[in-house]
Amino acid sequence: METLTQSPRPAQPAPVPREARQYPVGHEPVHNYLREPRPADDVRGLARAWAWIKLWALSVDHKRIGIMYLVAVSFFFSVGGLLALGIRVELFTVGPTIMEPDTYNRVFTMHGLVMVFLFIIPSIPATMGNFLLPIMVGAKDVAFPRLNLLSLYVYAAGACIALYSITTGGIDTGWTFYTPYSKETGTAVIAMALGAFVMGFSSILTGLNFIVTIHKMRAPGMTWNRMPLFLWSIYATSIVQILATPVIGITLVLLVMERVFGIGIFDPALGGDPVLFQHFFWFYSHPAVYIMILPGFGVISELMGTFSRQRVYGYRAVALSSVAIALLGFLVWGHHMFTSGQSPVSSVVFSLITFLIGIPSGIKVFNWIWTMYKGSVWLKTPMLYALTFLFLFTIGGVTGIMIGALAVDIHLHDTYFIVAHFHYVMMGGTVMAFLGGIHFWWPKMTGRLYNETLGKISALLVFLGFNLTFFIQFVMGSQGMPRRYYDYPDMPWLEPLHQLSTVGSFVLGLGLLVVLVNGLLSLKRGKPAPGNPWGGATLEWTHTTSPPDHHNFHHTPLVTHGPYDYEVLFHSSGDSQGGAPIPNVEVGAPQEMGTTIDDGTTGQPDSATDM
Amino acid sequence: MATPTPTVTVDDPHGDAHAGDHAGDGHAGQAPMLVGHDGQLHPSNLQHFFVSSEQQFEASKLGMWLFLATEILLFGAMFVAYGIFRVQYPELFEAASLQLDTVLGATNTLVLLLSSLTMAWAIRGAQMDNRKVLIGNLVATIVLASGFLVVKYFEYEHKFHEGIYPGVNFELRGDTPTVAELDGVTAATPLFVPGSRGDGAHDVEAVESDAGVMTTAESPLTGEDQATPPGGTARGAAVGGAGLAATTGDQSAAGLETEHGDADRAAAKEAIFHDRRAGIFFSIYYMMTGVHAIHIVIGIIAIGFLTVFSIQGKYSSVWYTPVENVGLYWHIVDIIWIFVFPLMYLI
Repeated sequence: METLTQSPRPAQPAPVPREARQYPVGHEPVHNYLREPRPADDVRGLARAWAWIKLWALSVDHKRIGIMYLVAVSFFFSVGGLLALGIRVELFTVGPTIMEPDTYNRVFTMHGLVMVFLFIIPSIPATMGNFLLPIMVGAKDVAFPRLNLLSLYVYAAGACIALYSITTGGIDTGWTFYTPYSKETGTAVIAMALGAFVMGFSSILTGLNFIVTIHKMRAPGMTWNRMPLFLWSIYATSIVQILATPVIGITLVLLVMERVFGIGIFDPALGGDPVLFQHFFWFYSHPAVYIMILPGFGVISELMGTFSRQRVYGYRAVALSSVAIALLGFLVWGHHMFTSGQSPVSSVVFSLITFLIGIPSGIKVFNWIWTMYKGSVWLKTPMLYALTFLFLFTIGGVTGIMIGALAVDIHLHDTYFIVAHFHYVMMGGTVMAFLGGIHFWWPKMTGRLYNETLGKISALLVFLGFNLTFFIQFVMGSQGMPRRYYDYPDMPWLEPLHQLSTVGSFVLGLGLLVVLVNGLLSLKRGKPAPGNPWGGATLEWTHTTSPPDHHNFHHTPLVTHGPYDYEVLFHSSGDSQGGAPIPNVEVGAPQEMGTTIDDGTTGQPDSATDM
Repeated sequence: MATPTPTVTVDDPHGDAHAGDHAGDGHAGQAPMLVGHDGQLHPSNLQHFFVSSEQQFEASKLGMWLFLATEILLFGAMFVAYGIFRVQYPELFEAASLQLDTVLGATNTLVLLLSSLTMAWAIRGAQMDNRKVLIGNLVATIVLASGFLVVKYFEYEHKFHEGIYPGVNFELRGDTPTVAELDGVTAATPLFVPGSRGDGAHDVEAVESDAGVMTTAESPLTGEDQATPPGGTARGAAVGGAGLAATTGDQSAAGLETEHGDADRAAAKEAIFHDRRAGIFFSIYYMMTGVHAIHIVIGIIAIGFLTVFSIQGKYSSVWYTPVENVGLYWHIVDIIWIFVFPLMYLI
């Protein structure tokens, strides 16, 4: 099935890059997006470097934008991680360890803000979403490529404003900006709030782009029920981004106005209401939790299907549960405010709806487990991260139900139990999915394979380090260790627990360092990846090379099967313990002429198992 | 108008060059209607990653509708704040809203409705390939929108002149004490006294009985009144008694002759200006109308660009997506005003 040469050749035969010969036969990228468009051959030296920078920085190619996001997001992840290590070291002993209380307040606030606004919210949608979404729907690009590039620069501008706030004294309100303290404190709340406001635009633009792309740009045959689950979850995420982010925008503007003009809307002395700020804040920030975790669900669905060699069980239930979570997520913000003096009736209602969220989340977890059942589970690095996700997210989710109960929450509110809970969901959930996804799509993004042994070591270190760090915080929290505290002189018995937690955080940091080293090593001397190293059945594996071409596909793909129909693709469900079947990638395979294109109305089955 | 090009046309009968529309996709500076690479040609208005012009148009429009959804959510938070405080202080809001000039507000409503009409008409002009109608109506929309801002400016200017600032800076003009100076006074009065809400006499009594407490009370929020010279608070206390009502009444009666201000307006002003919480109403008023005015300004800029481009002949019935989308934006800005106006001015 060697069909590579069917695309029109470039006018002058470009010199074949040295490495290109090493790609497996049939898997050579023709217009490798990493190298094309490229500066003219006669541009040399510094001018060439400058031309390269311009070609990347001004590129509207969704793949290059995704890579640039990946670099930025990884940078801020390490910044946030170093701040976290600072927090853990400070808590190593009772009393001052390495920093002053004021510094500590700034450090944990910056940790939260950097991790939430600069890392987790753009992490999966802006990197893997940008890179993969157009390929997965079979389009050449997102609907608004220039808007996409704009969102990257808006994000960068917001990040700069946010980091500027550190130089003007830092901010010590905690990431929640609660009034009235955020009005009283003399630090750089205004800069930080404006930074978050600006980054909100980036988030909105990305979500808008994705929704339009999914609605309007699916390839022929790509029905809604043939979309990979990753797309469903990104779609649900985008809904939340569009509907929730404007509210935090106006809330932060009101906060800035409160500080600048004293408008009094959040000020009880002027007749305002500080709890109103909390309502506004959580009306965004609780749905934002689903902005963070839903893309993770999508990644895990892909990993579970591909590495179990089995159609994801309950495809429609998993797909629709993403949308259900997105919509229910708008109705539970009050569970952050059980102790803020809201009426008991609303607390009960919010608690009830919080429990309801457990249903679609449970649907997902059970369906993933069922996907592995009787599948050929292939324990490669991405799958190890996926299993880690399953384990940690379940703990995080179930403790979430615990603290969604009114009486329990009164006891555990603002303790390390809460800290452990949301780290199990955010770090154990989203970050594990992020790492799993990065390992899964790394060969696609870079065209390089990474060292599997190092990958497995990193997964092991991350798993051990994470649990050592945060499981112990459940114990500390239930014993009364309050969150955001600088010191615990009244609870000296917690010192060994804190020390274990700190040790764990360094193990975790080491694991992440191994991930970084592995990635850099793979860029330097990784083996060129074939088009479909894992045997995936979605378009990015079956219809593009690794790395993909500049325009993704040579011909618009025609989708004739579901996203997890491995039997159709490989003619067997395959015992893959000894290595996945690697299909030939048919770059530029012509569309089957005469085939009826399924636009969703012809009644063709969405997946092979429906036949 | 672009020069007619001799090249073959496919579905573009107007021969317009759109070199600028291709910035970044490798077609910059190319004039012909059919552009392309990799051996594929497409109409110059069609970006290469779309299959058809219809797909491109629908995608743009869906994107615009999603953006409008975010606009509604943006204003939604302020409407919620308005609703909450309206329920909390109904009489205060009623009295404070009397300070807004209904005639000017209604004028602005009419102006915006008219501008929506001209905007829709401009889109029609683009669809009918009638450039005169398109350009004329775009210019008319800009004129009307600017008229809205002028009226808004006079409204604001008048309010500032009277000392109606948002929140903590809310004050009467001239030598009357600021709300900040009254800080301790009103802070000492309970927020809710059942049965006595709006009862001025009760407030004055409370002020007098709590005067001792008030002078020593720390202001929790304002920087200004820490800087108040010694005796300032005492003055505030004195004025906060019966004296304030008298002076305010005189001044407001004198200052409002040019308005259609009458006795009830003056009386309402007297009542609300004793209540520092009245600042909340004006905070929301300034926030909502201010953010709305920013949207009007953005709209004027966008329509200005449309006008320039339509004079250059870029829009036709084949491709008028920007006109359509800016039109949608303009309508949502109008619709938001349709809600702001009755909530703020009428009820």
